[in-house]
Amino acid sequence: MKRNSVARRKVFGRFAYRLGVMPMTMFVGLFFLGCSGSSTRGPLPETGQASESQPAEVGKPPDDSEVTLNLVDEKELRAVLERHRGKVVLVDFWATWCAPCKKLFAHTVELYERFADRGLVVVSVSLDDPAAESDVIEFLQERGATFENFISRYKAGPETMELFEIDEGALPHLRIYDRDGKLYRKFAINTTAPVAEEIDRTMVELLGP
Amino acid sequence: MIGKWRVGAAAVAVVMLLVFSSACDAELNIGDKGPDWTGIVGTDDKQHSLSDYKDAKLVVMVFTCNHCPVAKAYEDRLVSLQEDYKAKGVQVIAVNVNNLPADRLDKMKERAAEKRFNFPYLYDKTQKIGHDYGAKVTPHVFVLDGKRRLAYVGAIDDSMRPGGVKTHFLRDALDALLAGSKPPKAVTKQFGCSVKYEKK
Repeated sequence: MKRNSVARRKVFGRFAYRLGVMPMTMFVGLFFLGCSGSSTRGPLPETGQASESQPAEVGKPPDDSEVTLNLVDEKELRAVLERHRGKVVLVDFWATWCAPCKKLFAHTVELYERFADRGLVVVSVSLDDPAAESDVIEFLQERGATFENFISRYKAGPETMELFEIDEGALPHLRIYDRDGKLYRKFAINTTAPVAEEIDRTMVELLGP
Repeated sequence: MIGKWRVGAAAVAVVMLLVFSSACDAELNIGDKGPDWTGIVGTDDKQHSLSDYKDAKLVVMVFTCNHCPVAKAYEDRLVSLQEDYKAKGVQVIAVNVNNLPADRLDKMKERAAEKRFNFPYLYDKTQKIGHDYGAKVTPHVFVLDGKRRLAYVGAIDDSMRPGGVKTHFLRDALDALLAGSKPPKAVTKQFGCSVKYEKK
């Protein structure tokens, strides 16, 4: 389906520049040509896709790390969790339209820095419209989100909430899976509020202080 | 022995019922009577009641607010919906129950004027109406039929981005109800910012 028309996209930091900007730009350019070609077949007449991944780092603070963003649906997300069996996994569902999510995201980055070497895997899933991809990338870069980042294949609307099982229909929504891949705790609006202290406590429970 | 067990079980049931009824808002189901409301102030400084709109064939209650990007994304769509369905006897009523500084009455007045709302925009700072209906997000839609029973609940359409809309859940429901039939989809998943309920 046309959902596949936007495939894997990477945004490179300055490290990539040192490796050589020219070939990279050409590659990205070619990639987007292919992309817009396929989108003429699908009913997603988005314009300006070719420009959104122009080297965005000009004027930004130096950042040697690489921020990646891939499309994901609920089945692919399950496969990601499966791949990380044996580790504790934190999934942070957020969106650029959700102010509390953006606030909490800084905490998610901190958790990653604090617990990654003890076996924590962090996965972020943006429930933005794929058309808002450039805003998502920009935000992830600002926050230095060097873990696995995804954006929903579904447009921002009821379907994405339904398929990712965000029952409350609102964000932020965080899930923590234990090393056996079992859902250990869910932080959701109206049930266990997504509060930094509570999330910390769960991390310590699973990974030690 | 059996008698004791029965009493015990009954006591547990009563306690659970009490806990659930006080802790959770009652879930409103399709066909249930829409909870009545009276004396809710609007951006026109007048008091509004559900009975003021008794002549409307259908009442579309939309829980919304000022600050939420999803709610904002739907403002223009609500204005054109009211325009398109006014003559058909459909009344849109927007209700805000958030008490954030950006969502208070003075800000609501500004927003209503700026976006040229052609429907009442009401403010219930007690949040009771939100609890009564079980409004969870902004925007969250509740359509009441001629007998003011819940006929549709959920989202306005399937995409926050106007260009991405394929299915107009709310319009489809209104068209069906006006034609005397059931909405193709009476319940859709709500989508938006959480309603900012205050802890009691």
